[in-house]
Amino acid sequence: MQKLTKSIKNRYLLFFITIIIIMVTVLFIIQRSINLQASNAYLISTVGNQGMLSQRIIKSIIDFDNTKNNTNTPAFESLKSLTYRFENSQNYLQEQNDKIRINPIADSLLKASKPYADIIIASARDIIKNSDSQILKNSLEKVKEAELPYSIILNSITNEYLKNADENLKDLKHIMYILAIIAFLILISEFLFVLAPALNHLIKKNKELLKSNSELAISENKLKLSMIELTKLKTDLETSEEYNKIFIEQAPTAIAMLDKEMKYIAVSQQWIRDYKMEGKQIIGRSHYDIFPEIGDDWKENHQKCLNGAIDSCDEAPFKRADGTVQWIYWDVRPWYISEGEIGGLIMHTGDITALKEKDSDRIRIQKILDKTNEVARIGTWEVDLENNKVIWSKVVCEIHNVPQDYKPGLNTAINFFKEGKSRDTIEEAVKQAAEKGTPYDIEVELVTTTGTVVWTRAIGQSEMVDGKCTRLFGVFQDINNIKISQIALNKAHTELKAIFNSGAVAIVATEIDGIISQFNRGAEILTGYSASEMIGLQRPKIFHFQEEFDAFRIDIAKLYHKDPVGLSAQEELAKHDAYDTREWNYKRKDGSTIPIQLTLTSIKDEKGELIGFLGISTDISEKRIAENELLRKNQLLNFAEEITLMGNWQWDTVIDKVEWSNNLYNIFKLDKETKSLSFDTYFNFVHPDDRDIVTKYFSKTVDEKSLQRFTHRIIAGDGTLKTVQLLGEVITNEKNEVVEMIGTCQDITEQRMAENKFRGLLESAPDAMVIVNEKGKIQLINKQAEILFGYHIDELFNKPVEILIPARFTDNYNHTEQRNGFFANPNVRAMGVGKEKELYGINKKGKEIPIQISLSPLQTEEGLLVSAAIRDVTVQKLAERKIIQAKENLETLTQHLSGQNKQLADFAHITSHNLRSPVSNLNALLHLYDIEENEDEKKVLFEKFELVIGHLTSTLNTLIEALKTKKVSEKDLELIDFEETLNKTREILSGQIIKTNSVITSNFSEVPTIEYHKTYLESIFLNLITNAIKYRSPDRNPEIHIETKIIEQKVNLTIRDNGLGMDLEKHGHKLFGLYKTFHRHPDAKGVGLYLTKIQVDTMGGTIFATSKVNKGSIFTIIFNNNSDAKFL
Amino acid sequence: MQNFYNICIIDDDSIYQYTITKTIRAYNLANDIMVFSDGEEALDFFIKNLDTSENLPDIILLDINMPIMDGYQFMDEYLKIKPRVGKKILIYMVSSSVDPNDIEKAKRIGEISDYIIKPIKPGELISIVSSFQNN
Repeated sequence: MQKLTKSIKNRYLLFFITIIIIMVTVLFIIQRSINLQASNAYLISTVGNQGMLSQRIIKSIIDFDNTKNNTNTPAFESLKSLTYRFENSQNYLQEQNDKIRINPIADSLLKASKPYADIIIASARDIIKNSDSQILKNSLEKVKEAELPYSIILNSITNEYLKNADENLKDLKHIMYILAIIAFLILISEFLFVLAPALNHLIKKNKELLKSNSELAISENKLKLSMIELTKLKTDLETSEEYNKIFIEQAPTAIAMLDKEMKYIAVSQQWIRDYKMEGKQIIGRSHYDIFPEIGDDWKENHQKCLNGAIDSCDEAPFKRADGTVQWIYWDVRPWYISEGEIGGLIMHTGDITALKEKDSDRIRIQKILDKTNEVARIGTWEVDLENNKVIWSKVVCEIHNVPQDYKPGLNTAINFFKEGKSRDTIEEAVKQAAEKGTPYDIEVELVTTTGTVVWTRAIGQSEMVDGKCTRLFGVFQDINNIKISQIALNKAHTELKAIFNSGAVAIVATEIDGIISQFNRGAEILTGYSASEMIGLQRPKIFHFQEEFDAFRIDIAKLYHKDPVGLSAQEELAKHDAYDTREWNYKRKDGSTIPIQLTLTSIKDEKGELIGFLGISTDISEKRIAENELLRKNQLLNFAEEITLMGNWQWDTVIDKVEWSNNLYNIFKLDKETKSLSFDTYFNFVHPDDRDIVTKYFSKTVDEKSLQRFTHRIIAGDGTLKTVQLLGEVITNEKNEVVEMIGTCQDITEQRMAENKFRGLLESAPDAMVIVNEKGKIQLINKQAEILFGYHIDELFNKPVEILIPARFTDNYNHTEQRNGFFANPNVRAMGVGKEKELYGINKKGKEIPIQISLSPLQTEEGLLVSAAIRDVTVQKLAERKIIQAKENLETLTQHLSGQNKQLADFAHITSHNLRSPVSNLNALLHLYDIEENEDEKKVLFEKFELVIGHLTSTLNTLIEALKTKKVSEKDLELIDFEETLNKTREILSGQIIKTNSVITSNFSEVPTIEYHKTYLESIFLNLITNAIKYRSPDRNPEIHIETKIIEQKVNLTIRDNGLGMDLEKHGHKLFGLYKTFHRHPDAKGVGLYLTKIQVDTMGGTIFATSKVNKGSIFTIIFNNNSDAKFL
Repeated sequence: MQNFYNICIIDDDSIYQYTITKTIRAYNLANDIMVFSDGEEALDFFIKNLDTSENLPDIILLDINMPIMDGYQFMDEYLKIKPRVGKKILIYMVSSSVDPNDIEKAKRIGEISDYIIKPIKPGELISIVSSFQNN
């Protein structure tokens, strides 16, 4: 809106400006027109005046004439002034006409008038000049003549001017009209322009207004509708209140509606019936008047309800005034007039007295039932499918092993059933019952909360309402015990059946008369007869041997002290309820015989009457074979023991009972009839000298619970001395106590003798011998080996051979692999000999011994052994090392000498070159000197001579210095401190260092000193540092770092700078040559490095440089700080 | 002797430079004498004047032992630019070295006409110039 005002304001400004412009224009036009009119009017009057003047001139002339040409008369004066005025007017007219040029007619008229005017003026002047009467007359005549046409013309001019003025006025009128129209149009358009935004706004507002108007109409309609609805609602409400009343009155239950004063508004018929109020006036009366028996507590409750509470009770006794007790339930709640405002109470009650009486009967029956159920472990359950509620009786809870107040859900109840078949069965049954109403009675397994599996019988049926199941209920019985015994019975039955049908056991049952009644598959297999051949037809006699029957009868008779003649053995057994098991032979159908074990027993009925016999037999031919086999093996063992001179023994250490094998008796020469052997029996044979170690051995065996191989001597029963070896194992009980030992005892007397021979041989060998078994365990070593390694045989026996080899050879199982390799391909081989790798052994003290080994396989009864002959080669090694050392020394010397040789050759070459060069210069100069005639030139030449000679001298000095370097002796060596040497160099170079801003750093911490030729080292430092400063980069201050280090056991000295650097690819080969320079430096002489190299070389060291152009150079000297220098 | 030739001396020995120049002048053996103190200086000049062969020398007396760039190194570099040199140049190795190795090495370089041991005698100079003339 503000914007609108602003824009209108702006437009107003324009509006005003336009109006002002129009006014000004109008004013201007009117002014101009007025001016024009004024001048026109003036012209007209002038023209009129002119006419008048011309006439007055005539009149004056006449007057003058009348005065007799007296010039001093007023007539003359008048004529003079008139003439003058006339002339001026005429001129003015002419001027104005020229200026304005009103119209061509006026113009031409004026021009036409001019000659007449001129005549008038000329005549008048003539008169004035010469007031001669003649002239006067003539002039008068001329004036008169001229005056008439002049007047006529003037009249015409006047007319023209008037006409002109008229036209001007007309024009002005037109202009004013046009202007007025234009101004009007402009103002109108501007007015519109000014009001345009306002108009726009107005139109917009108008539209909005229209819209809101229509909206208003809609909402008005709505309001009307709501009003109608409200009215309807009110009517409804009124109707519903009425209905409520009717509803309450006609409700089938007991309902009463009371107001706030507890006065009845409405009651149902049932109410009246329930409280026996028939015929009484209730409506309008107080509740408490009607029920005076209502106590204060109820009244209080009612008050609470009047304040908004709801009071309900499922059952309560209501003692009536007449003394009867009425069981009622109620629901008392307030009713509302409007929201928040209570109108009174609604009471809904019910008389459940009859129900209550029935209920107590039911409870009583229930109790009896529960008791019964408890005993029978039957419980009831119920599933309310509508509320999804499950109710379990006490017994059901007990069966599930849950507390009685347990509230199961439908799913949790199902989940109690054992997963798998049981769960599936119950789920399916419940589903069927719920969907189709099929009742079920199933036996399923249940897992109780304690995890025990219980067999239960679940019986269920459903209550269907409109084809939909609303309730499932049934009983639930714990049938675990029944089920288990049933299952056990089934199992036993099945097993029995399995046994009966199995082929492994033959079962034959007979009637009391001996006729076969049962003949199973096993019997068929065993006897070769089929059941159909036997049952009801034959007696077992058919496959028995008569003589075995007789023997059986005699045995039984003997057992029960009866006369065998005519005795029925089976009947006799039956009498004693006994059975007999023995081995028989069956005569098979095909005639062959089969050994069996038969158990005979009788079958009695429940009263104990004999009803038949039963024979159960198994094939024992396998067992027979096994027995025979055992016997044979035993014989073989005996035989083997005899051959190997070995016996076996068992010693029950608990009761000290010993058993020997046959051959052991032979070895000990003990009578085989000697029974009840004990440890002492054995111990008495032990050689008296060995008894101690035997006692020790056995106590050790008990301690360690293992029998080691053990050898000792015995004196056999026949007095011969024997050596026996014991081997065996210890048996312990669960408490880890030794209860038994079993083992072998071998007579190794002869073996021992052979061993002794071998041992003698071994001991006489000059080398150390170590014998190792296949597992790499040391078995035997000789005395030399004991001396070499410092171990006693007992310390090494059965120890891995690696104990004698330094760890570095045995790491990573290398040696073990090699050893295995040897056993895979056993042959004699020598090791540690010749160019092969050096071998070392290690003795007890940990000292390594250089050795040579010769391995050879040794096939023995104990398997493949390896004998290693080991030779200590310490002495040889020492000698060898000395020779190698000497050779190395010689090589070094040769190297050094050839180096010296080369240096000498170089020196000779340098000498020849560097001396030849100045000499040749001298020659050339001499020649020039000879041929030169000019004395001045000769003088110059002579100066050159001096230069050459000076150069020659310095060369000779350098060479001499180099030569001196060659002479160095041991006494020249001294311990020099690097730091000191550097400081000395610093002092010498202090001037240059300061001048060039050089920074010299050093680190001699690793090698602070060296034994060296002092002068040389100083010279080396001086030369190298001088060079580093001399060949500095112009771009940076020299930084020089000097460091000593040990690299590969040699002292290294490095001097690093950040100077110009050199292209070593180009110049490397001449770096250390004499007079070799690489920079165009005025001080470059090519002597320093030459001398430095000679000095370093002389001391047996090496010098080299690495460098990068514009980065810097590193000179490294590797000092030869061992004794090589002494060879010089 | 006509002296239409430019002789170039590459040697770091100032006395030698003096005597040889003097000798060449004395015998009027050259039109112009160029003197360089080492191989690099000479090479730079050559490279600069490759297009104006009249500035290049006709005969070079090359020393072996020089700083920066010695006679052999100069020859290595010269051989690289030789295809662009627009005229025939005779090169003589002039050295005071009597080392047979040096002589052998110089002889092996095909571009080197001869090896002259210092001091160089005037007669030798004259024969060098005349041998150039004959070619």
